[in-house]
Amino acid sequence: MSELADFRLSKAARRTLAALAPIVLTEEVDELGIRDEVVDGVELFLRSIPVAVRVAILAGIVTFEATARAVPSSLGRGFSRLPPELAAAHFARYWHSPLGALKQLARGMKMFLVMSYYEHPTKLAQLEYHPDRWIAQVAQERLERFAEEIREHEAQVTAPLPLPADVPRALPLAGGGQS
Amino acid sequence: MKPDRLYTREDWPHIPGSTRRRRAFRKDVVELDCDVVVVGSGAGGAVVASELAEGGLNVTVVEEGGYHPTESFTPDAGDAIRRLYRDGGAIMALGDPPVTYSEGRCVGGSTVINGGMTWRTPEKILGRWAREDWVEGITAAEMDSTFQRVERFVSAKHQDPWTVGKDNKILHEGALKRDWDVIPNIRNQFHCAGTNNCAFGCPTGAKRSTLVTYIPRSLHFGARVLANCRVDRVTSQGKRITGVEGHLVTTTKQNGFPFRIHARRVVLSAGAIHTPGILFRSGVVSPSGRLGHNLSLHPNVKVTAIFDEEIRGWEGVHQAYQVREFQSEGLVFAAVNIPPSIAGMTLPFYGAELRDLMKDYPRMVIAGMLLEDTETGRVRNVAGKPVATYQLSDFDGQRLVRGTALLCEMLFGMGAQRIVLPFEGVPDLKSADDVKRLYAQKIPKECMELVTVHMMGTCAMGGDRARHVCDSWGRVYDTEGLLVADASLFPSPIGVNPMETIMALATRVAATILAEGRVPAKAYA
Ligand SMILES: Cc1cc2nc3c(=O)[nH]c(=O)nc-3n(C[C@H](O)[C@H](O)[C@H](O)COP(=O)(O)OP(=O)(O)OC[C@H]3O[C@@H](n4cnc5c(N)ncnc54)[C@H](O)[C@@H]3O)c2cc1C
Ligand code: SF4
Repeated sequence: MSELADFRLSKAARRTLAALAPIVLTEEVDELGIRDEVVDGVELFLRSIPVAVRVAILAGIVTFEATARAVPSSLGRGFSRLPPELAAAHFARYWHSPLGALKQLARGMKMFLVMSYYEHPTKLAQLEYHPDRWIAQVAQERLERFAEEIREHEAQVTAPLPLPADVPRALPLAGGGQS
Repeated sequence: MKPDRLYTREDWPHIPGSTRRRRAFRKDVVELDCDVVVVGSGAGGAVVASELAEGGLNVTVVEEGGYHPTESFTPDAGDAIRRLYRDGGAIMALGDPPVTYSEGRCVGGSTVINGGMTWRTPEKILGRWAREDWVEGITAAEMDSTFQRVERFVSAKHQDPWTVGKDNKILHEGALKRDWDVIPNIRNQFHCAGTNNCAFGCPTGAKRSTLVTYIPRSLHFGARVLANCRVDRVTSQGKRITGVEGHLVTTTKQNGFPFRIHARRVVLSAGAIHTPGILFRSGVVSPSGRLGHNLSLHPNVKVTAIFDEEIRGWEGVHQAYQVREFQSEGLVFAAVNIPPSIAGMTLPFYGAELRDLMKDYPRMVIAGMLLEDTETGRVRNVAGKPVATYQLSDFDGQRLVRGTALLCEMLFGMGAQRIVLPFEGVPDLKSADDVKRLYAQKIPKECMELVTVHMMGTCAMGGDRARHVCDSWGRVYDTEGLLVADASLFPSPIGVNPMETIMALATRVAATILAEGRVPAKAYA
């Protein structure tokens, strides 16, 4: 089941993603003050993906957090408790891993964070990306210019026009069409 | 406002004309009768439903996705992907490399989120289907009036010239400079405003998706549309179809009300992944053994070119032109702007590298190509779900590299300063000289980032029950009253955008049903 309205990220998964955000998105995510909202956006996106993929990603996030402990310089700390350089090195190991599954996990986490970040109104304003203004302007121009034609065209949508005889079709078969 | 006879989950279980079968300790089953059930409301389903309803049949359309009217469409890509796309657009055909595919899941199906390119099936392809697949009544001359009818309903036209944006002008000019064949797209639009929001729902209604054409037409002629309803299987008695069963789609882990619709004919238009999925779940066995085989994908790759000047690719129509110079090699090029979230998500960088590149978003031209593929994949049934597998052939991989190189040469010729490639581990190109390196380089296909929006061919039609799943008119061999009308029917890929072909084939399917006449629904209830 996708489109789950009641899915929530666990606190631990949120912590991991929040710690990953400045690595993937740079410290800019904090300068803009939107780190938590970016993680909220990831949660929203995870609701819409297939359950098997969601489960795999959540398991991947847990693994990513835990495997940091195995690195001697981590001194037993999980990913989200590492200082920035060690955390960045841990992510880089996944990103460049020769193992397909680890590499895919790094790419997956990056994709979710980036998607959410570049959807955030604050970030879009910084990019000066305002498609809504453009849409409003040209949609208005369209209406001013073609209102009458559009009305006529819309009326045609439901005007009767039975199928003409020259559309190719099978000859009727007995018994409702066994072929 | 929701149109009459279109029902969403909020209306359940009180669907006019339905009865409720009570069951102890379980949810009631909602039961309905009609002449024809159409599963799916996209390019195939909406067309069949509208033609049948106008022809006087009692039609019920069952659509898994929700109803989202024009007024609800905004440039919020994340929101649109969650509402209008199946599984957040994040589904893969498994292979090395995998191919990420997207499909619509809403009333109007993929036509709500598609780019609007509206092309007839190339004559060469129709000829091949007639010759090699023994499809009847399919020559260009025989199909002419059917195409004309579809084009009228969806308003297939060239763009108003002032709606063309800078990225598309660059593609056009670049192609002309090289003396390449480049043509203006025919799109299903009525005075398209050039908002560039096609992939997230057209906010003006100018794009004539089935949501604003064939669906209102179906409703007007008396069809009923059940949104948020998923068909699990087709029911039958022996080979005779008796209807469908399914359940209401909810937003929690629980399934909603189960339903059963009794009908003598069922038309499957759930798309090339889900139509075979439903057939598998229903236990339908094709005498050809080819159900789910023959999956073509038109794999796409895209390049991201950075220019010095501002492009603002979001201002102007989505895909105004197509470069057809290399169509005989199976390659068609176009400029396709995507919003920052999707651009950033798919660029192969993170951290400062990505941040710095994304600063150039307003200076990006994103261009890609569609490949008429020579290899086919397969849809299988895995625990009741359709799973696609597809392996790009070496030959097709080489053609994608050649296409990428040609496109890059053209973009450098137009002033691109840097081009990010869709091949992981292959450095960006900084000049036309770098492109020469690309021609010479052996690029492993495993490192290609492939996407597609054209899934086709998994219930191929044709005149040979030993090779095809459906006959020339969409009727599933060895069944009675079961038809297919969607992209699954294609015996082969077509090398151009498929929507109009699907709509034309669906029109023939409807004509065939109407020619057979009405059979009472209750006969097998
Ligand atoms: C982003 C994008 C851009 C595209 N651009 C173009 C373009 O410019 N030009 C072009 O020609 N083509 C384009 N296409 C492709 C084209 O839109 C599709 O090929 C076409 O819509 C497929 O038609 P269909 O009837 O096979 O399936 P769809 O249109 O996908 O409709 C299938 C419907 O069935 C429903 N469904 C599936 N399973 C079930 C079930 N079990 N129960 C109930 N309902 C179910 C789905 O929710 C969906 O609404 C694009 C596609 C996409 C996704
Ligand atoms: S570009 Fe045209 S067709 Fe596409 S969304 Fe905008 S107005 Fe609609």
